[in-house]
Amino acid sequence: MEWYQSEILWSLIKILVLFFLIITGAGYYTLMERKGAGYFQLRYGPNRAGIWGIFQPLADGIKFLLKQETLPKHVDVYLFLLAPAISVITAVLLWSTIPFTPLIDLPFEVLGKSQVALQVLNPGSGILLLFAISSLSVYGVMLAGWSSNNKYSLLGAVRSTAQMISYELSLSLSIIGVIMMAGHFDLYRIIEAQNENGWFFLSVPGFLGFFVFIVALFAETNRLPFDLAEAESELVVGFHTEYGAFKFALFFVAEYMNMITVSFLTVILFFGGWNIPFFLRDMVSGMWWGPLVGVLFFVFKAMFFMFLFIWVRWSLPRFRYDQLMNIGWKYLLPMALIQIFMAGIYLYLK
Amino acid sequence: MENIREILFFLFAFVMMGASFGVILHKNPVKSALFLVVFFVSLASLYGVLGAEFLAVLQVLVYVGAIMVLFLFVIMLIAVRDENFENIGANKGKTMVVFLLVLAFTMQFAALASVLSSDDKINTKTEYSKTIDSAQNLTIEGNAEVLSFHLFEKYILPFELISIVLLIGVIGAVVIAKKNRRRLE
Amino acid sequence: MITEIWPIIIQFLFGLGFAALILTAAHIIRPKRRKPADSHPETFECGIPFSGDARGMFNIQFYIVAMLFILFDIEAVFLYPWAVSFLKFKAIGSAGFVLVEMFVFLIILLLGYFYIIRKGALDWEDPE
Repeated sequence: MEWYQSEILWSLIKILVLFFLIITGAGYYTLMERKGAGYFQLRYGPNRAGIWGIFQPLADGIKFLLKQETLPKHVDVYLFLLAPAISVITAVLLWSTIPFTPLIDLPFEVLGKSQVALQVLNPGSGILLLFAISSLSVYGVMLAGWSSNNKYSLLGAVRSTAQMISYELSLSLSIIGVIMMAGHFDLYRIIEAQNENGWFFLSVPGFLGFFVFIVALFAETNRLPFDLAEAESELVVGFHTEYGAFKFALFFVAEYMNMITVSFLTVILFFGGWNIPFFLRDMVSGMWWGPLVGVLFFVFKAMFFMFLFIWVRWSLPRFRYDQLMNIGWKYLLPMALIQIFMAGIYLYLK
Repeated sequence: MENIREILFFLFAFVMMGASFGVILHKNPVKSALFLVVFFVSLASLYGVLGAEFLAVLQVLVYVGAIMVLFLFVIMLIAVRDENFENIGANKGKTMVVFLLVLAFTMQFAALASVLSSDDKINTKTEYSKTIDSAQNLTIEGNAEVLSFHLFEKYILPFELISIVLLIGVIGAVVIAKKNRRRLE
Repeated sequence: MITEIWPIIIQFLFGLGFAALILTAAHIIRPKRRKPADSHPETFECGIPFSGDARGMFNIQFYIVAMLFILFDIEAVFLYPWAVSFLKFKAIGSAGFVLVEMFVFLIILLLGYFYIIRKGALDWEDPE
């Protein structure tokens, strides 16, 4: 085996390619968000940096890099710097488990390989590993709030942590139906199972599970109407009040990366991933680029959910904290449990 | 590839030892708790190295994602100030601890050297798949399925008892919290 | 079926490297003022002097939520192996038995849930 065929080199290449795609995606997602916000509020949004503000993400990046750096006096320096790093590391680890493409048989060889799937890790415990990593992201928020030694930050962090763990419960219960129907934790095989049986969204337990899942996702990513962590009208900006320049930008990048990841995850779990619609299936079968058409559909479906995040954010007001906790514990949790009962009976009778 | 496992095993063992010393040596309880988080994550990685993937994931989900969050909540939110902990840890104790640290690390090195030089490799080959129904050619594979076939077929009573233990936990949590609140009012 | 762990480690190192690199780069590139304003490194407060620090006590409700989360999270953990092999249990014909088994487990825990609701342990103070 030549040195360039080693698995380590391969995973590095995949990581770099995906990182480039996702960080660019995150940049343009911010532009999409600001443009969307503009149109929702009957204004234009950013339109100075290039046509339709196409260079806006670049300009933002340079601005973050050139800002004066501040390190407040009262903070716990190590934890203060560690917190944004934890956020970004968990965000990076999260997208490494997502299968972005199926295994594609290339007609040519790249570095001695003719089969490529754009996925860094393919763990047998796929979805569980993803939840385990996302449960680590609580620490970024928590440490940012505590180490800042600022009342606004701490309040934002405590609220956010309690919120995230409450909704994590509904989130992890809401996919039980999907796991039962697929019989695997592996995201790749979950998509394959939908290839045979149709989208899980269209099945009885999957339908209910999807609603619990999507509501819990909004809370997990701290987006409106659940953005109590930031709540700019009462807490300045919550847990990252004391952060500026690129330290803030890391939180920002992590948030948008996470939103991209969970959009893809939603499509994988409930909407069939890269499955090709039935009317196109015969046309592309046998072609080596057939799976790429599926990937195109995959990306479009994910983009719908990315847009949904923006749509909801600029349409709904924020919940009060007691309402938020009530929704999580008294509505979503029972719904998730009912979904499990339904899934059990449904699969037993089927 | 076997060699990578060996190296990773000892890497995580070292991280775990370092982190556990951090837990007992650090003055600030918040940072002690964070060292414990590092410890649990490397313990999970160790399970991962040994092939117990499901256990590794659950270790992170339950210990790091839930239990340590509660620990940190409790520590962070009862007014932990750095100056309160200046005087903890006398010098005599520190010398003792440094001695123990050196001893422990030496033992680790010795273990590492002996394993790397001998032919006895760490056993990572456990049986992960077995046929449950030869007529339909069904096999269970992976930690989770093996676990569930043991848990739900063989150990039914312990499994149901777990739910009662959890029920008692739920009631206990509520009773304790409610009692304290009444006293405050 | 056993997943190799080293791709996760590479990915972790990559994330760490990215965060470290970008923070260092920002540290080097940033404009340096000879003397920052006096108020610059102070704790942020909306226009009035900051008093005290952020090391206070918190509402006990947050602890209750964290404790209950642990208990229900463990419940979810037991559901995973059950869910993933349900189809195989069905294939060997013991699906009904396993289903009832899990329903008993869940119903016992639901008793706990109703207890919490009855006792109002999840009720946050209504500001109105």
